[in-house]
Amino acid sequence: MGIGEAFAILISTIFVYNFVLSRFLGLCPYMGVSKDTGSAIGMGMAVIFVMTLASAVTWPVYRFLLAPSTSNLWYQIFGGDPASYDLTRVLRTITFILVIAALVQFVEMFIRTVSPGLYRALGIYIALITTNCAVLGVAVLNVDMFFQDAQPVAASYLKSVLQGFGAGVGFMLAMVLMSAIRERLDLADVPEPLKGVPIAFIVAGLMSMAFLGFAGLI
Amino acid sequence: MNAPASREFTKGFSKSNPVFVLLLGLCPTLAVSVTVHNAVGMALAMTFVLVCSNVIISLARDIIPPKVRIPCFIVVIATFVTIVELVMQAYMPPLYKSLGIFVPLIVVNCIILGRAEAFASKNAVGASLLDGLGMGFGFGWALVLLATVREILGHGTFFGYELVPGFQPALIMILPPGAFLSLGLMLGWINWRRSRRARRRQDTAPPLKLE
Amino acid sequence: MKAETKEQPLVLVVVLAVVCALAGLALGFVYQLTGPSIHIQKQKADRAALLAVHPGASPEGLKLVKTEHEAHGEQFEYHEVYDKPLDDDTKELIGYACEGRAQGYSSTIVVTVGLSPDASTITGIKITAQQETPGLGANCEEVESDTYIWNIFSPRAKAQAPKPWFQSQFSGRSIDGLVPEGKSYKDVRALSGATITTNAVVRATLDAVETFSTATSLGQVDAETSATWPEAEGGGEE
Repeated sequence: MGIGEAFAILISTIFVYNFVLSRFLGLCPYMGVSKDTGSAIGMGMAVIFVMTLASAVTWPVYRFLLAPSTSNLWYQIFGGDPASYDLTRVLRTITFILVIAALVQFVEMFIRTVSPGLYRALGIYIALITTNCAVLGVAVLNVDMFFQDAQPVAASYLKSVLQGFGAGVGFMLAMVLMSAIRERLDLADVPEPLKGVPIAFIVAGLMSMAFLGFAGLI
Repeated sequence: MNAPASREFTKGFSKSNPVFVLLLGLCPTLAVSVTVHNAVGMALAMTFVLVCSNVIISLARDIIPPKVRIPCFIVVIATFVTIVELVMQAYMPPLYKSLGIFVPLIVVNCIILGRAEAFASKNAVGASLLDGLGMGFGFGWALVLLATVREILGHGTFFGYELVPGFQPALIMILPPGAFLSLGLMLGWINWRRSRRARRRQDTAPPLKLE
Repeated sequence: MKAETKEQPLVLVVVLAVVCALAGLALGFVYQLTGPSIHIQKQKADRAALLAVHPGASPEGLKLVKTEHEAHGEQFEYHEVYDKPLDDDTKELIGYACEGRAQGYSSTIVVTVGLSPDASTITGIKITAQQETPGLGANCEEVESDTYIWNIFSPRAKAQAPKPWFQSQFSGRSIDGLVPEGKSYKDVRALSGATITTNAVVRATLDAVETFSTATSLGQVDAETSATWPEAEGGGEE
């Protein structure tokens, strides 16, 4: 996997297929936390961290526990025909969400013990991200897009982690932009029925339109 | 117990509509409302998962210790989501293809976990069942409403059937910006109706604001 | 259960384990029921694609051929398509079919390409997988529908077969006829506003042709025939 391909993945997840504005993932925290730039940045950092880590952990779980191949752990323990150990359809959703939930718990505990200062800044947001559709969404997208049996393992793994990272960065970008606009929107003369959430959605629509302009970049 | 029971069901439509009032489950709402066909499919899938998980969690509410309740809820919900995935792949593959990643994402739909936590774990099975049905249909109703607007304006069709000959649809409506704009304007309209009704009743119903 | 017993770690673990076990059982049961259907759906889709690119083919006359590269073991597959069931000795080869892929705008586009018996002409293409932009790139699979909403129940509406105009422009083209012209390809009617998707479909078609020529030059490893596939239910599916 060359640097060009890595770059293409980053550009596409941050700009062209921004997870919030194009793929509609992570809207609840997006609308909830983007009221001021400080918390938007904090949430953004937490999301980048969790999404990258989630991508890094769910991919090996998928490959070694669920997917039918010679590296499948169940096959190595029990033998038989590697193709018959296909747990992808049945266990993917449950395994991913449990892994992500457990991962986030550990990360929270770890940060709380190691760096109370960091925990004060990011801790609350991390709890919010557990059941965020963006994290599960990026994990599922990774295996859908990059897990093909013919692909070299290392490249596939790197692409998945890179996509997780890029998705988080894109999320933070969209949130920070939105928070800057919303801070000024609070002072603007918005018609009464549109105040609050409706105008936020309209702004998101305009931002999404702007991001459509990145189409064809890669 | 008729009046309270029916209220459990109808509150999901207007008073506590998960999309328009509680602002939950926004991701699938915007993503799936491209065509009415997809919207109906998603709504049915969601309602199935919501009702089943509400019932099971309500049945087990005295057995599950509070400390592990969230993981237990997640496992129950994920099981039903996987069942829906398998059934869809087996009998309705085109629908499964068009709903894409939003089928497994039903598991993290805030509505389902929210109702499990707020209602099913504290109420009897019957009430939980009705609550699930009401919330599910309320969600479906919001989804179909949004999808109708987007499909008619963006595709020129309704449920796949052409409406007006020679109509050039506005492509933006089926792209992401159209979704955001439609929902924003719809919420604004709902706000306006509420404040008009409140002004008539001399109440104060504050417009939707996210705290 | 008493409140204090509920808090003990052992109880927590046991409850969680029981819940997971029950979930696993439920899933296993449902998978038993739906697994075969899922498999059948995949085969139906494959078969429908093959029949779409070779209109005269017999559903029992499809043979999957697998070949393998001796040195690095990479496998290739293609289909031989006959006009009569495989056990019929009067059957004739009406062509081949091969799958090709290319990166489109927002997804990998997978195309099944039908080739003539001398592998010089494309009999047709069928896009089997794409997740392009709805209204733009996704129109590559678009079927021009003439069914208006007030015609739902009229017999005329039912009689019209949908025409996928973008894909049908490749029928009857020579494989050398897809010539690059600047950034796109010559004589290919593009999708309006979706040149990336258009070019990707052409690239996927060329990839299929190339895969076929690679596959036929290698040694045959295995063959699977559609005679062993389960019966297709109903008539055509789309």
